[in-house]
Amino acid sequence: MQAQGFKEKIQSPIWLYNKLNLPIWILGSLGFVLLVIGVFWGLVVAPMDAHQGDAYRIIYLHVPFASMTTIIYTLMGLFGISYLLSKASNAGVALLQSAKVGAGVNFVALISGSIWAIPTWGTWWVWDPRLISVLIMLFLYLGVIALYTSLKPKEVAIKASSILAIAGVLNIPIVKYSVVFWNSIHQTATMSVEKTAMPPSMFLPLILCIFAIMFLSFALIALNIKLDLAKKHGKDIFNKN
Amino acid sequence: MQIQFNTFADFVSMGGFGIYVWSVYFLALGFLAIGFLYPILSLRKLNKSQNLYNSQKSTNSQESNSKQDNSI
Repeated sequence: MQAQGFKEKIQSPIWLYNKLNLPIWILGSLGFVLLVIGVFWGLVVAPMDAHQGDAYRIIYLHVPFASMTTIIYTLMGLFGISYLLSKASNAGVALLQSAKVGAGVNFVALISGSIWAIPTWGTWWVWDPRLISVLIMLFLYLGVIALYTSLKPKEVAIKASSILAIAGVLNIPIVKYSVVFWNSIHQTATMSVEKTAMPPSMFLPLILCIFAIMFLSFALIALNIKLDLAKKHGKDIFNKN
Repeated sequence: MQIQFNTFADFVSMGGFGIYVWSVYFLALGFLAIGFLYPILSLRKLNKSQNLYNSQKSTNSQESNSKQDNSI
């Protein structure tokens, strides 16, 4: 009975709109504090890299954004699965908004990587497996947005974009292992569960920045879901509050 | 733990890589700032316009009620 009640609640736009307030505040403020500490530590306190000089400080934003590109895509795939299983319109809204935020994060990851490549590789772009697979991921995000917004009727649009989101999950292991399987100019992972290639004075601010961008991205998705719900159900939402 | 730069100019120049480092920070932090500001301001605007609509609606209904009372 309780599960049935929860299922009904989670499908209600008004319930979801109100429930998103607390996570947005917690994730947003925690992410902001971590970002301020992480960026200050990375830019000012962390020692200079012996090979790349101060150019390496780009890592404190490039790596967190690049990591979030795949995490948000996985989340979007999960929203796609939950829409196909439940046909809940809220899952469709979450799918679209995670695609929009994911596309933005992916774009920042690609551009910041290109800027970093100029002083380190001597070129802003190479047709390298890692770069190509991340570019494909950007096209997948844009494809999901395009399908969602252009197809009619709405149910068909959400279904098609959900299927594309789920199919695109196959690209995630390609992104992750592209630097291992193929001969790549892109460096291998800076850190893994077992070991890290950096000393703690450089590594700790990177961890802070990764968590900061993760929390802020989730807050951003939640905030955009709220806006979408308010645009569609504003009358009911604002009159009930 | 110590600050790695002797002067503010050193910090800005980033050992000659300032243009690359600062453009990445400007892009990423700008994305976050706009990303948060746009939905927050849009939600505020929507809320305000809905409140205005509600207050106009209640004023109109009060006026029509008083007209009906007068006609009776």
